Amino acid sequence: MSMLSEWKNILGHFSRHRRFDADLDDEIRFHLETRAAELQASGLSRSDALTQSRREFGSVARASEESRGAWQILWLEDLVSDLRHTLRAFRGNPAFALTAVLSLALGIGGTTAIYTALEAVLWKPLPVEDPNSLVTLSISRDKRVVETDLPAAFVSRLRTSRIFAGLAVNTGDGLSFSYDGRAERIVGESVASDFFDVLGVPAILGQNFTPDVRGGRWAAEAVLSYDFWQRRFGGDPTVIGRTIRLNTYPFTIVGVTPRSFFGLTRGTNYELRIPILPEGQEIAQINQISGKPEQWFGVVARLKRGITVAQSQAAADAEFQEFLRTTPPQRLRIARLGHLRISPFARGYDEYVLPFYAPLLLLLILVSILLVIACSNVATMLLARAAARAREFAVRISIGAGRLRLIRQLLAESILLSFLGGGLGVAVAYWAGDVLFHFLPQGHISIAIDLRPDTRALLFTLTLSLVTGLVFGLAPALEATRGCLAIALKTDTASAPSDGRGTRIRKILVASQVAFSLVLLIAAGIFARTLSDLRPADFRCNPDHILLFTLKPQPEIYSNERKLGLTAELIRRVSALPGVEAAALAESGPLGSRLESEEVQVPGHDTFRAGSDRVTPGFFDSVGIPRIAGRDFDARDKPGSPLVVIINQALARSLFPNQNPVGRTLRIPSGKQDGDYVIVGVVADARYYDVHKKPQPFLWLSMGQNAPYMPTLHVRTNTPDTATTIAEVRREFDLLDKGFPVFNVRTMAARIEDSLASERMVANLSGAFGVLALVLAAVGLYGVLAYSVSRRNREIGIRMALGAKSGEVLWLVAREAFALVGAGSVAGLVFAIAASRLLIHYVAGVSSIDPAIITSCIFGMLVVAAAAVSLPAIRGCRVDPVAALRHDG
Amino acid sequence: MHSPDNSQLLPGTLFMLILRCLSRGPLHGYAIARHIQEASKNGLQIEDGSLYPALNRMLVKGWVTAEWGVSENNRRARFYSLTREGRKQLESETAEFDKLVRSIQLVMRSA
Repeated sequence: MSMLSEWKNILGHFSRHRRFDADLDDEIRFHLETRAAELQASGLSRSDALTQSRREFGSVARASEESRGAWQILWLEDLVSDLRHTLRAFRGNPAFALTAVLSLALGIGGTTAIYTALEAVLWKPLPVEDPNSLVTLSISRDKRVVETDLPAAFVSRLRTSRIFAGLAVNTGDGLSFSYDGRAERIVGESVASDFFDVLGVPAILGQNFTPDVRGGRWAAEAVLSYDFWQRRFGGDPTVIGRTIRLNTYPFTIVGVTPRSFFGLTRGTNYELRIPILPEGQEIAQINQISGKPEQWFGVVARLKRGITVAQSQAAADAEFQEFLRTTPPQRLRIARLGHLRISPFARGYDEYVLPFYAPLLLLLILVSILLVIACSNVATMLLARAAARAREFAVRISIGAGRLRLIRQLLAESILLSFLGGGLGVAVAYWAGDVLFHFLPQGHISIAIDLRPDTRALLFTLTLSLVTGLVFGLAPALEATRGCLAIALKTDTASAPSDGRGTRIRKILVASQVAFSLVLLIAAGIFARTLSDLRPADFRCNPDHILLFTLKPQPEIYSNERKLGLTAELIRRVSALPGVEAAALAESGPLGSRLESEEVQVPGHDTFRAGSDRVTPGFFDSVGIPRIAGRDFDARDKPGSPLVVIINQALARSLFPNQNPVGRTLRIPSGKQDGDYVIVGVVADARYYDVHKKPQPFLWLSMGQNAPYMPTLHVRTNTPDTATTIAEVRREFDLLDKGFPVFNVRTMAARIEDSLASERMVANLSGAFGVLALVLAAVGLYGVLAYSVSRRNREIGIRMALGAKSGEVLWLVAREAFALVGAGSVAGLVFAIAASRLLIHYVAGVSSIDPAIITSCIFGMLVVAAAAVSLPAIRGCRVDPVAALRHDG
Repeated sequence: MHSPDNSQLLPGTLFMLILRCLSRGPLHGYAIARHIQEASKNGLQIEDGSLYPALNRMLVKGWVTAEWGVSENNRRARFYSLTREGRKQLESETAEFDKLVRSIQLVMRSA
C-alpha cells in the first residue's frame, strides 16, 4: 500500500470527521448489546449478560481512543507545538524576527510584483473560453506576413465555408463618445454580432447583444467594458437601455462584459464594443462598422474539435486562392497578397505589450538576485541564532530529542518566517503593482493591464515562500544540530575560540551579499546611463514647454477643405494667445508613434524608402528642429500649387552627397501622395520616430497640400504655467468647433518619457533594487561584526588590559569587515563585468559598463559598509577590560 | 503507531486473522470476534475491544472498506469487506506465516 493512498484515505476520513465518533460509539454499542443478547439467550440474567459482555470487550475507552488514533497524524500535532515554540522565540527577539520578515517581504513582494506583471503582460491566457483552440488569420507573401487583417468579402466567404467552428471578427478605432452632454474620445471595438458567442464570454450585466442582433438583424447596440462602466457610469446597474452617442449616432447600452475580459489585444481595454453592420449596409457617422466588402477586419477563429492548425490552414488557403482568382484585384488592393496563414492565438494580439517583455524578464532576474540577498541575510541571522543556541540543542540531543526533530523545529521556524514575509510580500506586491503601472505609457497608445496579483500570482508567492524558507533554513538547521555534543557542552559560547564552520559560512554569506548588491548597483548604473543616453538632445527647446493636443476631425463629418480652413484658423488663434511662441500641426510629430513612409526616386539612384510626416508652416520652430537651408513651408503651399517637400540632412546626404539639395526634385512614385516634389528646405537630423534609433532619412510634406487625418497641435510656450495655457488652448478649440474631439493632451517631455517607458522602468526599479540590496548587505555586515565583537569581548579586554589603544581595537574589527567587503566587491565586479558583456549581447541599446559607474558603485558600497562597521567597532573600543575579563559566558 | 495489547499474538497476526475472516464475505465487528473465537475453539485470548483499532488501521491502509447495513437481528451494524489490496495482503501474510511456522517447527523438531 503506498503512502499516497493512505493519505487519500485519511483525507477522506477528515471529510466525514464529525460522524466518526458517533459511528464508533454506535458500532461498539451494537457489539456489546448483541453479545449481551446472545448470553441472555443462553440463560444469563440481563445484568450479568451485560457485565460479561463488557468484560470480554475490555476497555471501551481504550478501544475508541486507539481507533481514533489510527487516523491521527502525529506530526501535525508536533507541527503545532513547533510553531507555538517558534512564535514564543520570536516574541523574545522581535528585532530579529522583524528584520527577517521585512527583508523577506521586500524580496518576495518584489518578485511577486514582477511575476504578476509578466503574467498580465504575456503569460496569462486570454480571458475567453478554451483559448488554446483559437487561431489568428493573416496574409503572407514570400513567407512574411503582409496583412494582419482580411478583406470583409473574404471573411463572409470563410463563414459560409464552415472550415472553422466560429470566427471572432474585430477592428478597433477611436470614437467620439457623448453622454449627458459630455463628450470624450474613447477607443471602441467593432465586432461581428457573434463575437462574444464564439469567444464564450458571458455578460455580467444585460446581454452581449440582444438575440435579434445575434440573429443577424442589426441594431445600434453597445456593450460596455467593465472598467468603462465603472469609470463613466459609476457601476450603475440601471445603465442597460440608456442611450449614448458615438460620433453623434445614437446607440443603446445592452450589456457589460466581465471585469477580467480585456478583449483579444493585450495591453488594451477598449471602452465598448458595437456590432458591425451586415454586408452592404453602412452609416455615414461610423466608418469602422461599415459592411462594405472593401472593409478589412482582424479575424480570430476557433478550430473545430479534432482539426489541426495545418489541416485548417490548407482548407482556408484553398478558399483564399479561389477568392483571389475570382475577385478583380484592383477592387481590393490584393495584387500583392500571397497565402493565408494560420497561427496559434492563445496569447492574443501582443504587439503593444511585447516591448515590455524583455525588460520585465530582466527585472525578474534582478529582483531574484535581491531575493537571494534577502534569503542569505536571513540565513546569516539564523546561523547566528543557532550558534547562540548550540548549547540548548546539545542538551536537548543529550536528553534524547532526535536530530530530525530538532531540524524540523528549526525548519518550522524558517518556514514560518518566510510565510510571514510572503504574507507581507503580497501587500508589497499590491503596492509595487501601482508603482509599475506608473511606468506604463499613457499617451496615444495607453497600456492598460491589470497588475493586481491574481490567484496564480498568489500561488506563486506561496510556493516561493515555501522554497525560500527551505533554502535559507536548511543550512542553518543542519549546521546547528551537527555540533559535537561534548564540545558544545564544555565550551561556553561566549568565549568559544575557534572560528567554527558556522562562522565561516556566515562570512561567505555576507561576502556574497556584498557581491550581489554590487552587481545590482552596477546594473542600476548601467540602466540609468542607458536611459540618459536615450533622452534626445536633438530638439533645441525645453520639451516641458511644448504642449501637444491631438485632434480628430471625423472624416465622415468634415470635408478636406473644411478641415484645412478650420485648422488654419485654429493655429492663427492659438498663436495669438499670451505666452505662446509658436504653434503648428503635424500629422504625427516627433515620437508620435505613427510611422508613415514613402518610396523616393531621384535620377541616378535606386528607389529609396524614407519616413514621412505632414506638417504646417512653423512646425520646425515649434519643436526646435533647426532649419539648415532653404525655407519653411508657408502660405504659398496650397492645394494646386507646385508640390514641395522638406528633407532632413540624412536624406540629403544619401540622395545628393556633397550637393545643395534645395531646388532639386524628387519623385514619390506611388501611394496617395504620389508626384514630383521640389525640395524647398533642409532641416537638421533628429530622432524622430523611434527614440532608440539613430536619425533616419526623413521627409516632410506640406499639410496645406495634404489634408490632416488625426493631427497633433504642437504649441511652444514661454511660460512654465502649462495648465493655464492648456485651458486657454482648449477654450479656443471649443470656440472654433465643438465637434473636434481633443485628446491625449500632454507635454513633449511626457511623450519622450512614454517612448522611454521600458528603459525608465528598468532604470528606476533596478536603482531601487540596488539601494535595497545595499541596505540588506549593510544589515548582514552589521550582524556578523556585532556578533564577532561580542564573542571576542574577552580577547579585546585582554588586549586593552595589555595596553592596546582604541585605534588598534578599531582596526581589529574594521580589518575583518573590510576583508569581507573587499572579497565581496572583487567577486561582484567580476560577475558584473561578465554579465554586462552578456547583456549588451542580448539586449539592444544598453550602454556599456564604464569606470565612472564602477567607481561610484564601489564608493557607495564602501560608505555603507563603513556605516555598518562603525557601530560594532565603536562598541569594541568601549569594552571595559575589567568587566570583560570577569564576565564568564 | 501504538500496538494493541495482544501479548498472546505474534505481531501483525490480528490483521491476518481479520483478513481471513473477511475473505468469505462482509462481516460486522461482532461477527468477526465470534468467528475468531469459535474457529480457534476459544484458544485465543483476544479482547473483543482490540478488534476495533485494528479494523480502523486496516481502513487507513485501504485493506478493507466499511459500510453501514442491517444485521441478522435487524439492527444497524457496520459491515467490513475486503478490498483487492486486502486480498493481496492476506495472500502474502498467509504465505509469510506458513513459512514462519514451518521454520519454527523445523527448529523445534531438530532438537
